[in-house]
Parts: sequence; C-alpha cells; structure tokens
Amino acid sequence: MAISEEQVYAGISTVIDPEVGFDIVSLGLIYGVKIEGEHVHVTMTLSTRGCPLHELIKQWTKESVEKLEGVKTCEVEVVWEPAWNISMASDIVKKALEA
Amino acid sequence: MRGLATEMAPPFVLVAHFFIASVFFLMVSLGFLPFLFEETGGFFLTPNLASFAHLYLLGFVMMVIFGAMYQLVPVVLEVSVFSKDFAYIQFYMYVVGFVLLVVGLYTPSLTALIPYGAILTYVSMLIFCVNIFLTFGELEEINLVGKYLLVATIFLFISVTLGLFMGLVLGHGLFEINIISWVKAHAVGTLGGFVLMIVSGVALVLIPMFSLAHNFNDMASKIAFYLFCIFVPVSIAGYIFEFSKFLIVFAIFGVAFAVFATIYQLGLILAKRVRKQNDYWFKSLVFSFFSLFFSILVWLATFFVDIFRLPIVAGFLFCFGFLFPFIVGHIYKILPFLVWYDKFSPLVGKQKVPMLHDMIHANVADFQFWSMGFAVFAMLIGIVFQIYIVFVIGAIVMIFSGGLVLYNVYYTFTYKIKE
Ligand code: HEM
Repeated sequence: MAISEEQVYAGISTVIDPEVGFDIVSLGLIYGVKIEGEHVHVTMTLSTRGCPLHELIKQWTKESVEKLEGVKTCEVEVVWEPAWNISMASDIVKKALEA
Repeated sequence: MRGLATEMAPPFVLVAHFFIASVFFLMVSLGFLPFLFEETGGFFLTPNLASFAHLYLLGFVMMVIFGAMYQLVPVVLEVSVFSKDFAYIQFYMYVVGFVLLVVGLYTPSLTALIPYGAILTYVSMLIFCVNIFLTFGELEEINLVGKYLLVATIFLFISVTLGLFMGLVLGHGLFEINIISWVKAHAVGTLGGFVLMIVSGVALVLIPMFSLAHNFNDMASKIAFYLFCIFVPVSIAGYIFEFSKFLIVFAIFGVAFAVFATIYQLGLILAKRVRKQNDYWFKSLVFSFFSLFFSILVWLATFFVDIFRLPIVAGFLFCFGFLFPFIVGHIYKILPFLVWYDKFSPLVGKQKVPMLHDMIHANVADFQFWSMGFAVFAMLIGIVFQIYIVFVIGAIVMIFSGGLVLYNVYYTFTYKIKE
C-alpha cells in the first residue's frame, strides 16, 4: 500500500531543531511533500540562511522519511523562497515562543 | 554543491582551543582588576593599563573573535577556511607572543621583551589575516556580512602594523614617532575598525538566528558599513599624519555614527524577534548595546571637555559594559552548539539528545548577568567619583561574575545526558 502524506509528515515531525526545541513540521519548515510510488520528495526551508545545522537537519529529514514503511528513497530540497517566517508555525509554537 | 556549511566547519578541537583559552585569559585579566584603581584617575597611557588592555583585549576578546571567525566564516560564506593548519600555528604563536607583549609592557625591567612579543603577535595575526584573505579569494560573490568581515580584517592588519612599530619603538627606540597619536590611531583601528566591524557583521547573522527575527530592513547596517569604511581610515591617517583637529573630530564623529547606526540596526532586529523570552542572552545583549552607546557618547565628549577621567570611562564602558556581556551572552549560545554538534549530533534518532539550552545552567547564567550588571555599575561609580572601596567591591563582584561564566563553560563541556 502506498504511503500517505500524513504518514510522511508524521515521520518528519520526529526531527527536532535543537536550538528552538520544536519539531520542524510544527515550525512550518516543511513546504511540501510529493509521493511518487516509493520515492518521496520533500521541499523545505530553514529558519536562517546561515544556520550551521543546515546539512544536519536536511540529513535527519531524509532519514526520518526513509525509515518509514513503504518508502525506498527520499530526496530533500531546501528552498529559500518564500522565506520562512513565524506565521508559518503552528499556534502551539507561536504561543510557546512568546511566553 | 554549495551550502554544505557543516561539512566545511573546522574541527571542534580547533575552535575549542580558542574558546577555552579566551575564558582562561578572561579570568586572569579579571584577577588584576581590583589593583587597577590608581590607573583610573588619569590618562590612559600607563604601562599597567597598556598591559592590562592587551591582556584583556588580546587574551579574551580577540581570542574569542578568532575562534568565532573560524567557526562562522565557513557557515556565512559557504566555503571552508583556507587552511586549518595555519589556524593551529596561529593559536600557539599568538599565545606566546601576546603573553610576552603583556609581560614586557607591565614590567619596567623587561621592556626588552616588547619587540619580541610584538613581532610574534604580529606574525600570528598576519597568519590569521592571510588565512581569511585566501578564504575570501575563493568566493565569487560577497554578501554584506562577508564584506564586514573582510574589511574588518584589512583594518586589523593596518592597526596591528602600527602596534608592531610602537612595540619596536618602545623596546629599542628605533625611530621617532609621536606615540600618543599612534596609540590613538592604533586603538581606533583595532577597536573601531576591527572589533566593532566584526561585531556588526557577526551580529547580523547571529541575532536573527537566535531570536528568529525576519523581514527586517537592513538599510542601517549598510549605511554603517560605508561609514566605517570611510571614517576609520580617515581617523587613523588623521592621527598618524597629524591632520587638523577639525578633520580628526569629523572623522571620529563618522565612526561614532557608524556605531549608532549599528546599534539602531541591531535594535530593529531585536524588535522583530519572534522568540520573546527575555533570557540571559537577550538581557546581556540589551545591556551591552546601552553600554556601547554611552561609551561612544563619552568618547565624543572627550573632544570637547578636558576631564581627565573621560577616556577611562569610555574605555571601561566599552570593555566591561559592552564587550564582556556581548561576548558572554554569545558564548552561552555558541558553546552549547559546538559541544552538542561534536558529542550529541551523531546520536540523533538513536537516543534522546539534549536541547541546546539544556546545556547551560540558566539560573547561574541569570545570576551571572545580574552580578555583572552590579559590578559594572559599582566600578563606574568608583571611577567617576574616585571612591576606592566602591571600585574594589565592583571589581571583586566582576571576578565572581567571571567565575560563574567559567562554571557554565565547564557545565557545557561536561554535560551528560540525564537518564
Ligand atoms: C600585534 C599586535 C599588537 C601590538 C604589537 C600592540 C602594541 C601596542 C603598543 C606598543 C601600545 C602602546 C602602549 C603604550 O604606549 O603604553 C598599544 C596600545 C593599545 N593597544 Fe595594542 N597592540 C597590538 C594589538 C592590539 C589589538 C588587537 C587591540 C584591540 C583589540 C589593541 C588595543 C590597544 C589599545 C586600546 C591601546 C591603548 C590603550 C593603552 O595604551 O592603555 N592592541 N598597543
């Protein structure tokens, strides 16, 4: 059975940004997920361009998807347009950051 | 492929060398603070002050900047540092050189050491500058932050060259120079040209990153950049070639406006921050910007009123009100990252790993901030009103505050995952 988008998102949401302390799905860093059979293409961004965790977060995202049943390969593409901003994050994250 | 920032990062041990040494020399220099009261009454050119200034500025401030540059340049510019071996050589040569320089400046019978210390320090800094220039040589395009770092390094090169000449003159009297003007040119070049430009450039990356600020206008930092580029060299030349006082004051105002524009820019970024917690990092930053602002105001005042203590007050605010909290606040953010990256990032997905902020003892960091604030205030009162005991109390509290920084550095390095 083919994997669903929700399952991919659930997989990615195990990836935590250790600086901010939230998973990257709640932060709104994932722009899109495309499923083509057993291949998944993830489009994402990062909160800062000069982020030293850049490669790691990308790597973790790839691994978190490839771990899922029904996925063979995953490609992660990092884009900078549109630039991330806080309105893309979930309400829980927004509240927590403002506290 | 571009953007492999983390793969280009220097080895953890290299950067750790600089960070550990900087905290060590911070503690050593704070240890001398209580004995400096007598120097605060007059002008700034005494052997004690000169040696203390270099112990603190070269041992703590420059050391941390070198470490941070080796870490940040690859991330910001997306290239690896030209040579890591250069960086190690620089480190050891630098430590030996600046310690000789400081001892020579401090001890009247050992002034013969000054040229040796000056030459070693100078060569080690040349290695740094060349390493950075070669790194930039690999780039096709340089962004604003890159421009700041590049121009700052050029100014460093120029101003330590002046330092070298002064060192040779003080040790051997090789040739005649107007030492007071040269010291001023050297101080403006190192502090205004290098330290402040590095801070302006680096902060443009770090502050948005840690505060998650977005969509801010960066016009002010562009203006600041050009003001620095024009007026730092004019100030240096003005002192060395003894331009008219009017021109020098004009150039100094130019530098001052560059600093004000920087403060405005960083304030603007903080105003747009998404992370609203007023943690130790944020408080340290705000404190440091206010101190910087007042330090520059007092510095400008020295050109109009002839009060002996004003240059001391400006220098004191700059070193302890501005540089100390600014650097310490960032150590709290950067050091956990370095240790985390080295120790815990390979474990992600395999076991529970700490968050970066777990690796700093927040209460200790908070207490450190408040004690620093108290210490700066007390020493300032002590200097302005020349009250010995108030100054000494402030200095001792400052040592205590430094000790708390040391504690957190130790805490981060030895952090273990709690079961
Ligand atoms: C190769 C490196 C350097 C050498 C050889 C050097 C040498 C000197 C010398 C000989 C003086 C005059 C001292 C006197 O006449 O009593 C001086 C003053 C000064 N230097 Fe340096 N310096 C170097 C790097 C730096 C750096 C990197 C900074 C700042 C980050 C700095 C900050 C200052 C300041 C603020 C003064 C004036 C304060 C005072 O004399 O009390 N120097 N330096």
